[in-house]
Amino acid sequence: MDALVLARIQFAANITFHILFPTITIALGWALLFFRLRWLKTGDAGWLMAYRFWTKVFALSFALGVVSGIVMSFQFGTNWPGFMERVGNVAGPLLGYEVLTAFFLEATFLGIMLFGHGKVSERVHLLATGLVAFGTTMSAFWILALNSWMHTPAGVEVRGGEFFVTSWIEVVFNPSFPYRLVHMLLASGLTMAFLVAGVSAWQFLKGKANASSPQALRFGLTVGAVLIPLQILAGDMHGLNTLEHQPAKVAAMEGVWETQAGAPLLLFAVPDQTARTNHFALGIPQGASLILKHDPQAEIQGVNDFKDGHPPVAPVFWAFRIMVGTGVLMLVASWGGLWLLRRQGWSAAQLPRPVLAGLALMAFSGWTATVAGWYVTEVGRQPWIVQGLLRVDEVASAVPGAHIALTLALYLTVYAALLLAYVSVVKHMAEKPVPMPEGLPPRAAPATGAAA
Amino acid sequence: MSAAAFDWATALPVVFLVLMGVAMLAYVVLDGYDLGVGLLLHRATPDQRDTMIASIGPFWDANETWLVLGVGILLIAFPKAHGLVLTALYLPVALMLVGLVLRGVAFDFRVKAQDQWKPLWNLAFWAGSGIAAVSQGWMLGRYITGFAEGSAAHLFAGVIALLLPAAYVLLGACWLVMKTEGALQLLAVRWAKWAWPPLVLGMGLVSLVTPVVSTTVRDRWFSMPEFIALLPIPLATLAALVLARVLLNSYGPGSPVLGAVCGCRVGVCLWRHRTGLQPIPLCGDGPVDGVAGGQRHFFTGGDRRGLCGHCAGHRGLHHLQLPGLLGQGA
Repeated sequence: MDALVLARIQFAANITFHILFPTITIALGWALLFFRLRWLKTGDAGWLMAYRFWTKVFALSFALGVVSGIVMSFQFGTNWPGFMERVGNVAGPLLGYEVLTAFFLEATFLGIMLFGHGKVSERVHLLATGLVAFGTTMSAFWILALNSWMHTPAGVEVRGGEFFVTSWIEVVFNPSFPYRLVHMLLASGLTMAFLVAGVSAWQFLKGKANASSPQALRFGLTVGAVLIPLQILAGDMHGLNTLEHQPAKVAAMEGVWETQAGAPLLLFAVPDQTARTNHFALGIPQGASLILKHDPQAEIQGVNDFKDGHPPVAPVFWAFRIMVGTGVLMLVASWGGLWLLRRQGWSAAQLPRPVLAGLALMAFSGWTATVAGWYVTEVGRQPWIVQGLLRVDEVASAVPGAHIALTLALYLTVYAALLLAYVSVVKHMAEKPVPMPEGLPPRAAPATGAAA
Repeated sequence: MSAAAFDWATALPVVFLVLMGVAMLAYVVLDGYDLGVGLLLHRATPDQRDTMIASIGPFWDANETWLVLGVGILLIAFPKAHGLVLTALYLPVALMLVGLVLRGVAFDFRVKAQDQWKPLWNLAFWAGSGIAAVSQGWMLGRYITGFAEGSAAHLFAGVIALLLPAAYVLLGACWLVMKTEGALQLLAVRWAKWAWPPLVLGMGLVSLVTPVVSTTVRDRWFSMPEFIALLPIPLATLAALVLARVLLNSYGPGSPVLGAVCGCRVGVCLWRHRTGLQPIPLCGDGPVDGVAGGQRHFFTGGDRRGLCGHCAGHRGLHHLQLPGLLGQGA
């Protein structure tokens, strides 16, 4: 394999590993604030226990996010030196805001949040919790501004191969930014919701439920049920935005090779890049045209039309279907779960075991959908690093392929081990019995779980 | 510089340079003691290990942020140098990152995982700290010689790779003297004494080698008015090191961490000044695609005026050294 492909795999491996953890922490920060407020309001120790347990998960996720984020800040230079050279004027300040406004905010107040409960006043601690949540969200804001700009560059002019900013407002609020930001924040909310619901369901399944489990399960299902329709809507709008600015990506997502009117919505197909066609295609006639242009006869541009290069079709096509499929599962699971829970009088312990098992299986479904979604958008941007303006192969480093392969193997080993450790530690923490907080009897017994 | 009309184009690089210097200094001193504590971990009993890690637990994350800030500023303000430096240091950077990853996650995993895994996470903590410290030492050693080829330069980097961890161990041990009591404190005093000679050796070695490989540093340090002006730096370093040693001998309530920090801080200034770190980022618009030989020249500073003739607008800055920033003129 050549060095460019290895460098891309290495960066993709790192960024894939990294995004798993911010996806959890962005929304979990706000969930912790909610748990804390509920506890202050109701005095129900279940909320306090939920806060304490999920704070531990937050800290662990945050640590993994920090260390993999540090690797990423170095890999911009080690893997894509040309990117920083050419696009440094845009990427530098945006990454800088991320570090300054968010990283310091998070890292500093996280210390108070984790180690300060009981040492600082309730009000200060609450404020610290809120600032941590705000910090993670601001991190996402700046990073997504940069990422969106790479897809839909605006507010710059290119002089002598180097990018110069003409308007920061246009750079930050570039055409795809609002859609991408909303899509990602909702993805984070859903990932958190299904993790919270799934882990709680696992506790019931294993007979390890504590006073926090009913509250957490209902909270996770409710958030999931509220967010998933919004996410489907946001995803559709993001797709239309992509069609406007990156039609080659949409053509790959839909598996459309030749420009055609009334393109079908393919449910299944095996795209073949060499033959430039699909095998075993099964689709809804005119579906793609209807969804993308709201007109069954509308013309959809095919990948063959993009003479400057287009993304590899199969990975984009498949990743898109994995994302959408997971989204549909989430819709069914959250609405079905909530409906069943209501029928049991909100008593999570009464839920049928297959339902609990299904929710537990979906604990990490947010990861699947998020990573698949990112693959759609990032692989779909190829061969460009800045859509239409700068190609990936122009900015790669001159580091020998063997060095990249060596470090790639090293990173992959470490990441695989850490991922395994993370999931098994979350499981271990979930199963560990937690004593009731001293002097704080739960307002409702765990079995009824009527709080909230 | 100070008399000239205020000019953003000239001032901003200096501002960022100072910020980056502060960030790297803060990182070396702050994460230095974290890494030092990590390196000492396997010499302690299991209970002492918990105390040691608890003593740095609330701080390490913020400390490591300085590294992100430092590399972030390099990336933001001097993007070309960012790519150049990180490409030249590709393998040690990767190793350092793996070390920092292992160390960073071990903090959380060792207390949250099942008990049978705790020794493994302690090992990861120790090994991660060690890998990061040794890689940083290697990078420093390579950097001082301007990425020179040949066995002597690599040997030098190898020696520094072993001596920088000793500096971290001294910082870490002094931190423990300050934060702990009883048997662990006595142990920490012993560790600190043990780390002192290699630290002095390392700083001496760097001080000797730098003027040999860099003509700029040589000219600056061994010509008359500058020599007097710069003399306080080595003298203060020496005084701080001796002070740290004296404090360790008396190991009273007077905390040697102060002395050690002084020593390392001044030492870092010394390194930074002598190696001519400052010019690198400023030459960001210099010969970025230079061949190895050119890069060497580029990194060590060398005759910067000649090298960066085409970025004449910054020419004054290329000669701006630490004393210049301190108002002593250069």
